[in-house]
Amino acid sequence: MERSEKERLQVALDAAGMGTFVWYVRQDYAASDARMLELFGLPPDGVLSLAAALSSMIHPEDRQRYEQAVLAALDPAGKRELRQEIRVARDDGSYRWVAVTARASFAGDPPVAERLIGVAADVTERVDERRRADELVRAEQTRARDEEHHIAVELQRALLPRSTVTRPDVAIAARYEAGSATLEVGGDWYDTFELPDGRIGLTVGDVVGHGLTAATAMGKLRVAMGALAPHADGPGRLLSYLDGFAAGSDGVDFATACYGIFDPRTGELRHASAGHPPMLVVTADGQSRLLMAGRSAPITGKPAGVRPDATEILEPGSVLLLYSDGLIERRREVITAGLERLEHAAVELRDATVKELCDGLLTALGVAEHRDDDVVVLCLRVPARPAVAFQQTISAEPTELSRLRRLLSAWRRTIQPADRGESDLLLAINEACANAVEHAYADGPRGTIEVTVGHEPDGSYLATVRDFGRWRPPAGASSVRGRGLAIIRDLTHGFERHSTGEGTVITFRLPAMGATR
Amino acid sequence: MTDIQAYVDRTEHQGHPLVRVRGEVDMVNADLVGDQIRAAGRLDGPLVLDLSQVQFFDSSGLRMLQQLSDELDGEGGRLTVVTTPESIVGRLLTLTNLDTYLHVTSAPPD
Repeated sequence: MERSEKERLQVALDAAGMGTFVWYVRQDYAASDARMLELFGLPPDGVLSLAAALSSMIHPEDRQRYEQAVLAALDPAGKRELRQEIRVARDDGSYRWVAVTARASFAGDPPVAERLIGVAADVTERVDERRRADELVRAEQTRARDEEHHIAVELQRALLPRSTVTRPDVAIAARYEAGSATLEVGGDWYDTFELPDGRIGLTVGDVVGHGLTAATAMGKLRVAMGALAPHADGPGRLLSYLDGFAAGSDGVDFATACYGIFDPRTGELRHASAGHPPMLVVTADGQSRLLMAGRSAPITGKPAGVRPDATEILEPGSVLLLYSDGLIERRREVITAGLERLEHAAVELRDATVKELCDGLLTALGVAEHRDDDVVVLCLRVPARPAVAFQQTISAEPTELSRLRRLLSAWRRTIQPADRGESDLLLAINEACANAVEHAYADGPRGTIEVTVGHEPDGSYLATVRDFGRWRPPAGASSVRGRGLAIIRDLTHGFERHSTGEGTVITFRLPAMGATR
Repeated sequence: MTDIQAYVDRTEHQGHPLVRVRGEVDMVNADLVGDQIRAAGRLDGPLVLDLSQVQFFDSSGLRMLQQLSDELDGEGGRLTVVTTPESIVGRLLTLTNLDTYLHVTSAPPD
């Protein structure tokens, strides 16, 4: 190279901030200029070798890649080129990105690599910029994906019913959980129907597949079931109708569904399942059973003949659960493990309200952590058997009130679990009795108080508190007892008080919890 | 013979007395519980009364609370009742509008 040419090259290298080197392969020695040495954190009189670079200067994560790239460049059958970006340590412990570009020269026959001649430059700023750009692109992609998922979930919610059947005698709740943010929506559905004869139709089903196709197919099947339900003679027949509907409907290639018709007056459940996981019954005393009868093949759009159904009597106070496979299935696990987990959790939660039960099952079965699929759970509580009325006579003493409260609480818990309604009932009865204790027998010997509470078919409690004394006209401190009666009025419906020469009768009704007052 | 029981004990919260009542309060023991609160608390400064663990409460209890509050007001003190809206005390205070008359909170004040 001529001197002027060499000078021009040096100007270009300086302008680009580039260092140059010639690396002698056999000796592992790199003849380097000052800028090259500086790039590798070495003083002007330092010595640069591949071994030293690989053992300490280059970032540990980049070492293997760089070594392999150097070996590849030395392969006479390869490209004979090295182009790598590596992180190189500085004195202060920080790393800079250095781009190394080199060409190998060979000698002999067969050729053997003798030297690598190349340049290196600090490209940290360029790399950082590129990374920032990548991050922005990735963030935008994530945002777009989230939005798409959000729209699909919204659509699916719109395809599911807004509410379940609401009746005073039967409590029903349902929950739908979409797949987690990285998953697509699915084709799970639930619905409840009030049938013309006073029975209740319940269904949970699953169009197999994901995405909007499955979701819209689910919407069609659900609406079809609602339309067909009042006209179908039994659940097996309804599922057979769905075979015909699926045959003429796009997108319904494979679905499973279960359908039950429950009569709250008799506790009778007729049920059928087309390839769907079995319904679960949990009794008030904690026995559980899966309803394995009335089963037939999934819905595939091909004729399946008349599908069978089965009949089951549900015990008073028991819970019926319908659900989709997402509730019980986990990857790498047999399905019976999921069913056992469900039975166990449902037995534990059986005293909760139906809403709490649905939420509790989703939590207990780890739906949030293990969710591979969307999940539906539907829960119905069979009304408790009409209970024997509570009847108790106490003597009109203040100390009798706590005993009465305990007896009343124990009686109510044979009908339903402790809740706010229990404290309302205890409070109202307590105030009525306290009133009688204070006023009924003020002028004579202590008499008795008779308390009767009945549990009515609509779930309310009808109470009667009777004394046999003569009420003294309220004196100065009576504003307190006045407050007691006001409390009863606020807690109850239809408060009445009748006094005769024989005594006083107070009656009132405590509405079922959840009913509006 | 009575088996009704209430337990009154005292701790400190932020340097002020915090008096806690547990158990049941009705016409049998409301006055007694009131006296125990007076003994445990202090009537010339802020008194925080924790009723969140009371299992039963009635109109006699409310009367006791109102008397305590009036006495404290007279002495330049102040009564704060700690309870939750779901609890029986919270429900009673709301029903009777006493929650607007008394200072009610769901956690001891800081």
